[in-house]
Formats: sequence, C-alpha cells, structure tokens
Amino acid sequence: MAKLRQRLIAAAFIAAAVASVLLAICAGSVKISPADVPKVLLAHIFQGRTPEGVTVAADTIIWTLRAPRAILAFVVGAALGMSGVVMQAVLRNPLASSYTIGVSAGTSLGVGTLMLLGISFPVLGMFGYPIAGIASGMAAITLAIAFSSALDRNLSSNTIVLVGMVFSLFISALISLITALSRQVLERLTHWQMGSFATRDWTHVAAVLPVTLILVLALCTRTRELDILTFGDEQAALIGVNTKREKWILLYLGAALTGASIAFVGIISFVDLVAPHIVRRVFGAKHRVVLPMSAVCGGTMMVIADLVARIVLKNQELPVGVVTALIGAPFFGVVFFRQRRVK
Amino acid sequence: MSSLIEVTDAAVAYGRTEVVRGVTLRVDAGTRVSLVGANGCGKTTLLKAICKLLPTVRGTICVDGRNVAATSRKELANAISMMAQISEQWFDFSVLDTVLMGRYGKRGSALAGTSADDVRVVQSCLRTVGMLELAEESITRLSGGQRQRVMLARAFAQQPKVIVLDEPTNHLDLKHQAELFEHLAAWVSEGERAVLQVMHDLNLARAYSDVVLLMEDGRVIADGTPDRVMRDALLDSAFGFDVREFMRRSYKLWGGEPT
Repeated sequence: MAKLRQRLIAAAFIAAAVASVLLAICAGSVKISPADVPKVLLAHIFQGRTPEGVTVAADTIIWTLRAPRAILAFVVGAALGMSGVVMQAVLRNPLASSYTIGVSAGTSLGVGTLMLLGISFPVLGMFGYPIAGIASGMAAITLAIAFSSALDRNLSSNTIVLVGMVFSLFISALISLITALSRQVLERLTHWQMGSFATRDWTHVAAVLPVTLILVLALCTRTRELDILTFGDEQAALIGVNTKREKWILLYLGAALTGASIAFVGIISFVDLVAPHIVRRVFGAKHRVVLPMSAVCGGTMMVIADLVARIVLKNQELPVGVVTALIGAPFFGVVFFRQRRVK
Repeated sequence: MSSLIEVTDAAVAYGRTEVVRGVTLRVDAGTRVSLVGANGCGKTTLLKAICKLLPTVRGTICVDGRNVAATSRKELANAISMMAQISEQWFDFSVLDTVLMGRYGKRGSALAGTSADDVRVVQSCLRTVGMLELAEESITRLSGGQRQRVMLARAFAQQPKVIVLDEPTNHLDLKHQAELFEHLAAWVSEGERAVLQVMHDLNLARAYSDVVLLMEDGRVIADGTPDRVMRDALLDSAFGFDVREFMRRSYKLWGGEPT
C-alpha cells in the first residue's frame, strides 16, 4: 500500500514536471495553444519542418525560443537538485550544497574569468563552457578537500564544510576583485552571476544535456554508498565502504554536475538546497528514489522559477537566480524549521 | 580452537601519544571476550584498531587470518562487524533499509540490487532482535534501545565471524540487556564465531564472558577466565579504587554480598 502510494506521488511529480515545461512554453507575452506544442516538437524532431496548421510565428516561438529554454532550465534544475542530494548526504549536513562548500564560487571564478578575458575553446566547440565549468568546480572541491585532508587526516565532513565555506568566501572576494578591476565587463559578469536562461537555445541544451546524463548515470551506480555515508564515516567503513575514496568520487560528481549546469546560465541558488528536502519529506531517505525524484523536483522548480522571471514584469526579465532565492529562502525556512520543530 | 583475532605487540597512537602499547591478545572461535578497564585506558581505541578504524603504529592485527592493514574494507566487513552506537541521524531510513545496509559487503557489482537472499537474512536478523514488526518504521522515531537492537541486527546481517561491541548496554533497560547477551551467546554458539566487547559493568562482564581482558594505561595487564582476572588486587589497580568495597555497598542495598 505504501509502495503504491509512493508510486502515485512519483507519477504526480513527473506529471507536474511535464505540465511545468508545457506551461513555460505556452505562457508569455504571446500565448501559445498547448495543443500546438507537441505538434511543433514532434514535427521538428522527426521531420525537421514546421507542422501543418501551426502559424510560423507560433512555430518559431515554440521551437526556437521557449522549448530549448524550458528544457535547458529543467536539465539545469535537475542537475542542481541531484548535486544538492550528494552534498547533503556525503557531508551529513542538511544545509550543505555546492554553494556552501565553494563549488559554485569556483565555477563562477573559472567561467567568469574565461568570459572576462574572451577566451574560447574552438577545439571543444559548444562543450567548452560546460567542460570549463566542470574543471573549475572540480578544482575548487579538490582544493577544499586537499586543505581538509591536511587539517584532518580522517577527512571528516565538518572539516570539509568549514574549509569549503572559507574557500567560498575567499573565491567570492576574488570574483568581486576581478569585477571591480574590469569595469568594462562589470555589467555582463554581474548579470551572469545572477543567473539567466534568456537567449539560450538548442546548442546550449546539446552541450549541457549529454554531460549531465553521463554524470547522472555515474551517480546512479553509487546510491547505496550515499545511503550508507549518511550514517557517518565510521559506520560506513564498518559496513565495508571505502569512505575516503567514495567521498572523493561523490563530491567530484556533485561538483561536476553543478559546474556543468551553471556554466551557461550563471549562479542559481536554493534549488539544490530545497529540492532534496522536499523529496526526502515525501519519499524518505533512500537515494535510489531521492536522487531521480530530486532531479524531477529540481527541474520543475527551475522551469517555474524561469517562467516567473520571464513573465512577472512587463518588458523586462528578472535574473532567475534572484527568483529562486526570493522564493527558495522563505520556502526552505518553512520546510526545514517546521521539520526541526516537529522533531 | 581456531583464532579469529590475533593482535601481536600492537601500538596505536593519537598524534605522538601512544594510547595502546604492546598489546598482544587472541580471541578464539566460540568465545565471548570482554575488555574491561578504567576510562581512557585504551579499550575503545584497541577495538577501533582491530576494526581498522585507526592504524597501528607498531605490531600486527589479524582478523580471521588476514592482516587488517592489508585487507580491503569490504573483505574486512565480511569478517568482522561492530555494533555501532547510532548517533544523531537526520536521514529518515526505515529499519529494514538500515539493516539491509549491512549486506553491502556481500554485494558483487555496483549495479547489483537487493537479492532475495539479502531480504531473507535481514528479516531473520530483525526477528532475532525482536524488531521485525517495526521493519517499516523510521529509525528516527525509535527509542534509544530500539535503535541499539537495529544496530545489532545490522551487525548480524553482515554475517561476520566476529562481532565487536563498544558499551553495548548503553540505552538498554535491564530486560533488553539480558536479551542482548542471550542473542550474542546464541550467535556465538552457532559456529566459528566470537564476540569482543568493551564493558563497563563488571557484573555483566563476569556473567556474559568466557574470557576477560583487563586493561590499564594502554596495556593488557591480565587475561583469562572472569574468575581468574576479576580479583581484588588487579581490579583495584586497574580502576584506581577499592572495587570490592564499591560492590559491597551496592549489594548491601539488595541485601546480599558480592562473592
């Protein structure tokens, strides 16, 4: 009975995700009929042309503007949701995320510097930014863990969180310094840091989606280790987990997911913090369920946040990072502190 | 009788301070061995070194014939398990899922799921500790004693040759203390198995041990049957006070005398 209930709720989550993407494509200054959306998508994917019975304007809006944006938002949200799951489980800290341990700041510094200096990677093509994002995110976590190892041979979670927070603050200061010294790109960099899906197209989806899928598949093979690590390093080791190696692998995968996903769209906070909390409250703690459902939940949240960012003001878009923080912070406060009070 | 744990001249240190020094001991199959001694004498540190949670700075530790330093975590988990004290657990796992984690060492590939054998073993372990009815309950909603029993079930589920326990009676009422030791006695009697436990309660150590190891200042100062080791002079030296007088006062309250 409990399993059936859980399956029904999971189906509802997935239905909400599909509905959110459909809504994001239909809503906006030009209203689109929901019936046109599958027609346009299927016609372009399988026939490479505009379907009959749909205006050219609607076709352009769906295929060129809104569908890639909504799908990219979903992929980025899903990746951040899963990254949050990993960080919270490995570090046994409900407040841990890529932001608290310096991954986002590291990615921001790496990608921001490339943008600032106008460096591109012709060899890597459209994969340049995600790879740069992954590399800088992983460099940040490598430094954080290396320093943690030097301070604490057992690599305890508390040490990693503390060192990560110090790193995050330090890197943020470096970013501020670079921004202050480069006034000509100040606006561009600041806007990127606030996060946005504006003007993103299928090339961005094609760059982020495969990288994210590979990382997700790698992560899905380690759900048992994630479960066991929530009991702490000693217990995990006693059960047979090579805790040090697994922590490195999982933190790298989490950092890479964050790095790849925010490389194109900038810093977007709170989705990775909130999505895993919602999912755990509904589905329990098993990562075999929490991981995919956090992807669905994070993706849905991001699509809705981007929709709000796009339509809440007339003739102006808000940075999606601002929307996620404005909605996410009070929402997280209610969810997290109510949970604590009950216990 | 085969030896399941063999410690030879082992030393364990925190930084430069050696907390365990020159310890040599063996735990034979079919025995329950208790480590007793005052706080800070190195009992828990020695247990952790045996479970490879701490490295030795000298000497060797072998479990089931394998040097723990050269044995992988997974292999070691199939030979020795420890009934852990569950600390604050923020993640809401069910009792069944918690005990199923004990089957990790038996898993072949990373993609292998939970087998029917895993479920059968885990249900049997939960039945043994009287927690099968609460299999679907969240561990965050259990009492301290119930959690202890879940942790014991998980230790059983690893199907090891040795179970190690550190203060196993913490959080347990008298009835569950007695039950715990009965479970352990039954488990040891089933085959090539042994129990190594750190005990503070000398009465329990005496009642539920085949061998007692008395530690003082990082060393084992006496070992043998409870009657041979738990003598006044040795205990007074290890604990730094008159143990018999303490026992006498306690027993007087119940109208009896310690033997």
